[in-house]
Amino acid sequence: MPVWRAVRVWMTGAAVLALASTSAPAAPTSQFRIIVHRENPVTLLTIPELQRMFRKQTRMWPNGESVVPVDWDATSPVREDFSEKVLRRSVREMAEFWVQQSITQGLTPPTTLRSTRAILRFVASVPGAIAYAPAGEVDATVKKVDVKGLP
Amino acid sequence: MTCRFRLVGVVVALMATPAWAQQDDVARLRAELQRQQVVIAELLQRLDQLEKKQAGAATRDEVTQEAETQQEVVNSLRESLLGRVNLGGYYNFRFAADSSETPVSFQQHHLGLLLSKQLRRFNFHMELELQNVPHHPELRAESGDEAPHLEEEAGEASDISGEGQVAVENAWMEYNHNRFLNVRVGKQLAPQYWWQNHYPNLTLSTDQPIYLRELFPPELIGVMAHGNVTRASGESEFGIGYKLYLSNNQFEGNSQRDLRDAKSWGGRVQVKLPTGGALKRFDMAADLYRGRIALVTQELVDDHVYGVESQVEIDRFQVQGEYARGRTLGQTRYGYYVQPAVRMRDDWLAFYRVEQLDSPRIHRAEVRHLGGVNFRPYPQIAVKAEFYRAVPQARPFVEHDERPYRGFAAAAVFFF
Repeated sequence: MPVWRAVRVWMTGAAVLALASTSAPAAPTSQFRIIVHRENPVTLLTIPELQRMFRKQTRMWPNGESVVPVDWDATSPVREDFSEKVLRRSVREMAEFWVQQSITQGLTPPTTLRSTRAILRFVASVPGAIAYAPAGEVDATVKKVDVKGLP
Repeated sequence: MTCRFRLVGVVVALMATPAWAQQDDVARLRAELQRQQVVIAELLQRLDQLEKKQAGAATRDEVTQEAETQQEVVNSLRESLLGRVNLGGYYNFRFAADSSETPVSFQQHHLGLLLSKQLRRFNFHMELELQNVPHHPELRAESGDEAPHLEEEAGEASDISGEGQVAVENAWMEYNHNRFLNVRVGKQLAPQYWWQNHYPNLTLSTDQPIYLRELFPPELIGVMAHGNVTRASGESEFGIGYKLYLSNNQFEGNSQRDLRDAKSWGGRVQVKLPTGGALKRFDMAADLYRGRIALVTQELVDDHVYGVESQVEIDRFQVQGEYARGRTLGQTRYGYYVQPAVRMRDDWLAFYRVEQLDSPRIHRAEVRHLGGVNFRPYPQIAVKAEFYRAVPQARPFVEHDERPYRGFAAAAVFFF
């Protein structure tokens, strides 16, 4: 039965993937903090919630503000760190994800900025903004949010 | 010698300064020193001021970044308050050559223009598509076969009409109430994975699976409700999503009869399984469609289709597959594809696909194998090449003995 051939191919592929997954290395400690506007009431987020926000799948905060994610420039180390630890994809894979979203959903990727100063200014100015910045460079103009499960 | 000493003595005596004159000089020097000290103090003060000014002043890069930040803030507010129209598109050029009756051809396969806008909870999305694929009606005439399978052998040649027509492939607006309920109305793609992601930038092969158009309808004009429920499970989440739709039947041009007739409906349940952080993706879905389908005689008959699909992704590996089975006028047709792929490097991917179609409705039974590579120097650009081998299957409903054939296809794709 030809269908069984397809099932065999699928199962073989799945088995290869399962074997590949056993060698996944442990993630090192993250060097960034999640930040939001000071008036945002949220204090704790989970990784899946962050994923949905930075993929523009969650649009509104509980207080009714639009979620406005801000990313770092694609070449920055903090972006790579965030992409691997939170989004579980490389920066390159996320760029491909946004091509897919642009075509199928009409969504555009988050705004990108190139410095901590710019990120902080943006988050401090936009009530629904959410971003991340190097842990030691976050000041009191924004609010830090803890992330459950982030190493 | 004595005279010389006397002369020097006189000169020294003339040059010598009296004590009262020396005291005046010291006083002048002291005054000058005090003036210099005041000047130095002033200079130090100015230096401090300059240093402070310099510390406060920005470099050119910082000023540029600051301007960009403020522009982004304005854009963001504008996007939130007024919405912003996003314009994009894609371009696909394809070459195909094989040993079947389909001629070697260059195909200006797709030129799509995408236009979308978000306004808080509302979305609008539209896609205009131009296709210009060589059309060869003489092949059908020569074969004397009314079934459209030769046309379909040309891959997507039957997508729209082929000869440079522009069509609206998508035009819908959506209201996002919350995660559990969203409503989309208009012309939209069918909810199955391949149809949702059939764009040339998103597929690894240059051609669609052969069974695709013969089972689920590719698009629908109607109303769709969709949503999902998720629960965090460690670093990933477990989710269940649904899609329910009511639409016109699949009939060329939506004739009066179709519009008078009962509507088609369908549903989909998709499960997002927890990945535990090891997998990147583990999705499964089941689909059901009940509607009417047009025969070659332009009659509408009942059509029931169901299907299952899955996508798994771990590290550099991914496997995706879909299976669908339909029943019309007591005849069963089915098709599937399974496609494992590996990302060899950031910009290189390789894939293999096995697929089959068995359809008494269009008198076609075929298994096809494809293997190929993608070079993607940028996420927006893809250069694809693939070999394929198609093996017609012997079935009672296949009247002509058709021979296996093999071919080569390549495509260049640009998303903008």
